[in-house]
Amino acid sequence: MTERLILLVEDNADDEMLALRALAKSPVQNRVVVVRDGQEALDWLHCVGVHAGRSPLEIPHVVLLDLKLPKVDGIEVLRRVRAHPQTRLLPVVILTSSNEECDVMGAYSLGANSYIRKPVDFTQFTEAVRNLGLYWLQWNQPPPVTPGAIP
Amino acid sequence: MICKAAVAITQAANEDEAANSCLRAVCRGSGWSAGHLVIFPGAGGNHASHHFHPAEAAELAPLRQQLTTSGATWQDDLSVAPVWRKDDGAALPPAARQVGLHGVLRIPLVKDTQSLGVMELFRAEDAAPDEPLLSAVTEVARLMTAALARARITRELSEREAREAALVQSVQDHALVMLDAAGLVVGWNAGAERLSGAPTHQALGKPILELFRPADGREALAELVRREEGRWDGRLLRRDGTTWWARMVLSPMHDGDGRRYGTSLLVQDLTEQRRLEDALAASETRFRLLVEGVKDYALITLDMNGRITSWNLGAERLHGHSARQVLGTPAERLHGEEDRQKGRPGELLREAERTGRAEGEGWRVRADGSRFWAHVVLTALRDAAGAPVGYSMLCLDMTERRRMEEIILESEARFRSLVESAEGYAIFMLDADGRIQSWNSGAERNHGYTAAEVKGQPLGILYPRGEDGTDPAAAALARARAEGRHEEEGLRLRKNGQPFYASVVISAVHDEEGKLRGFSYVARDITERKQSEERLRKLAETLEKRVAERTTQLEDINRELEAFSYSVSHDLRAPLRSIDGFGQALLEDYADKLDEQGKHYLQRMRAASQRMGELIDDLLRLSRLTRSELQRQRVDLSVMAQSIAAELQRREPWRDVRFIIEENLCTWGDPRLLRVALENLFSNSWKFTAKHAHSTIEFGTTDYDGVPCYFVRDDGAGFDMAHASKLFGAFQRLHSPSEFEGTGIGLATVQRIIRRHGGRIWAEGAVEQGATFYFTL
Repeated sequence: MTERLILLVEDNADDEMLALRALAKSPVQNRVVVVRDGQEALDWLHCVGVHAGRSPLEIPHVVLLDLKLPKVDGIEVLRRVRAHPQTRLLPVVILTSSNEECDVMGAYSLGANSYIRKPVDFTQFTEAVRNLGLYWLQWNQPPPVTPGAIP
Repeated sequence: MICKAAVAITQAANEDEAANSCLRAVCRGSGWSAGHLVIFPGAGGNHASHHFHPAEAAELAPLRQQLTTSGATWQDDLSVAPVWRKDDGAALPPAARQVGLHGVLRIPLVKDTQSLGVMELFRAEDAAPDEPLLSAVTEVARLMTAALARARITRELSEREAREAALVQSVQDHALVMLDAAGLVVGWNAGAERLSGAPTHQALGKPILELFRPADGREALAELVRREEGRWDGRLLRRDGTTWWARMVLSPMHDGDGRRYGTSLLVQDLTEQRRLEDALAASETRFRLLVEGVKDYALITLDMNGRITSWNLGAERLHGHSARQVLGTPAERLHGEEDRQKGRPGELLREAERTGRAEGEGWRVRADGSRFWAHVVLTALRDAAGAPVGYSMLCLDMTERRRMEEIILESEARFRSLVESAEGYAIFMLDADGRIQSWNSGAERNHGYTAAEVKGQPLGILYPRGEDGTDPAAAALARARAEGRHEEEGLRLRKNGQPFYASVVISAVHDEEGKLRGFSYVARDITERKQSEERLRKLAETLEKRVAERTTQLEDINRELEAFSYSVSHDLRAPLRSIDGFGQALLEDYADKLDEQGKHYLQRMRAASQRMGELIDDLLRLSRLTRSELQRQRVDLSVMAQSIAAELQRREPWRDVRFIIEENLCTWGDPRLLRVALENLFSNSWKFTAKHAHSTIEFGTTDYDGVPCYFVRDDGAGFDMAHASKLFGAFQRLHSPSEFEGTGIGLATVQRIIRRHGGRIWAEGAVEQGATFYFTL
């Protein structure tokens, strides 16, 4: 099975480590790229700024996006991802601590594909990430990569 | 020739025949070739008549034609003497030369400067006629002139007679009748026809008294007719038997020589005149009765010496004397003693004598000695020739009016003293020009001016000038003038220039005819009121400001709270996840290095962090309840309770719990929040009945000390009423987690929801005897 790419946008090192630990237990073989703020996430996705040299052909199967992020927050990242022709169809899963109504509504109205609240119980967290990986990396059919969409 | 002409002229039936005969006699008798005679029209005549001889001669036709159409041969000659002209250019008409005639003799026919016509005689030779011919022709012309003059007089006379007859005939209003010596009608005009009703053909030849029949006094009228002279007024009979008033005037008629030839009779219809006279007489009678009958006025006439000559009913009533008692006595006796001593009665008479009229008021004495206040008008009476004959005296009892005037004066005095004593109010009058006329003590106190200082001053001195230089006092007066009244609150000035607030009413004052007499000004110093109003306004402002500040503070707090919740939601849970996560990682990765005790500690750590996670979630839920908007609608609590009960039973189907839920409990509220509240209450009961094998949970309504309310009752663990006050506090628990799980936030949530609905919640219970929660909405 080919390696599936995940972009993890997470500023909290603990959460990053725990998420990676959980993903490592996933039955689906995957590679995780971690970026630590909203700006870097956008740069990486759009191959600009510090990630200008990155190959645009390397497209993640899913983006796991935290909402509370330094520089550009998660909601704004989602807005720009959806506004950009190259990434507008990209599966984005919100993975965050909050279940505030404004956050949930904001994410869905900007076209988030899924919204998952991180449970405190690590057993549950692991289970959630495991299922998530299984679903998005194995079962979900990602949108086709149209060469014309790549600048 | 002259004789022939004379005979022909005198025998002629009319002027035209005379003219033709005359021309024929002259032309034949003295050898003229042609003759032309023009008769000028008299007064009222239309055109001249032309005569020509020989009229039948065809060769002379052009001349006859020309003369007849163009008139005389020449017209510029005003001479009355005969004139001879011969053919030497333009003297003769071209037609004369054309027919071979070269001389013309023109003789004007003039009588007493009246030009009656002209005769022209033509002949072939242009030598002047000799003297015998001229004199003969002139003589004939004289005869002709005489004939024309006579004819004209005759014609004019007959025309005048015809006109006069027509005039007489046309008179409609009066009958003009001519009687012959025997008294029979010989002339009868249209008026006679109208008044008598007899047409002319019936009247002529009849005796006059058959045509105009007197209703009475026939003999007197017949005598007049016999005498042919005189006047008679009386009633005549119409054919239908009714009568009419007539005047008949008879006069003898004489001809030019003084001979009597008849009588003229003029009959005049007096009906209308009689009617007016009767009306006048009736009116006079009425007036006399009126004067006598007037009761409210004494109407008295006096002679030149001031003695009473007439005394009407009013005089009798007013003075108490009968006419018999006073007639002939001096009017002086009617006056009061004071007037008599001052000689007032005589003064009044003299004044009336001098000016025609005198008027005065004074006390009068009645027959019983009592007095009344009288208004008296004396008028001097004069006869037709202007000689004084006495006086009329009109006297009216004014006692009542005088009393009213006194009352008014008294009332005015009282009013004035009232105005004067109204110290809190500035009350004064202004004239129509807005100048101050009066000034009360209140005005003096408010404005600081004395009456002497302001009287005659314009109202404007009490007003501050308008900012734009306008005169606010004039504007206020203009409004009062236009609307009758002007009311305002505004600044006024004291004498020292200090402004103060006044409440002012200015009213326009009009006289009986509606003419503006001036204004009344009533004002109150409201400075104190204004000041307290100002204080009140400032206080309100401060309060508003405070409220605004508090609102801002509350909004800030709310925002902070929201930010806090948000932060809690995101940030507080993260470390817990780390503790739990790394605890688990330790257990997984280092299980071989930890003994059972170490593993147990790690488990305790994880349990604690997970519990804290729950606490945080409950806290957030509670805070969300306070923040969300209340959406009220109809809610069926019974249905809601049924569904919650079913859910609880579905989750733990092994439990033996009986639910008793009252039907149709409907209310008005936020369904989402009410569901949370009911869920909490039901869960609570469900939880605390868990240790009993069989239990019952009830939901219904009841009456608690007269208050209708809902209740949720269970027969579970219950609680000690000593701790009832802690039931609804957040994180307050009456049981240990080991006994009953829970965070202690459930009832706090319920209370918050009930309170947000404006209701109240309380509980009753006893240990192991169950608990009942009551609430209102």
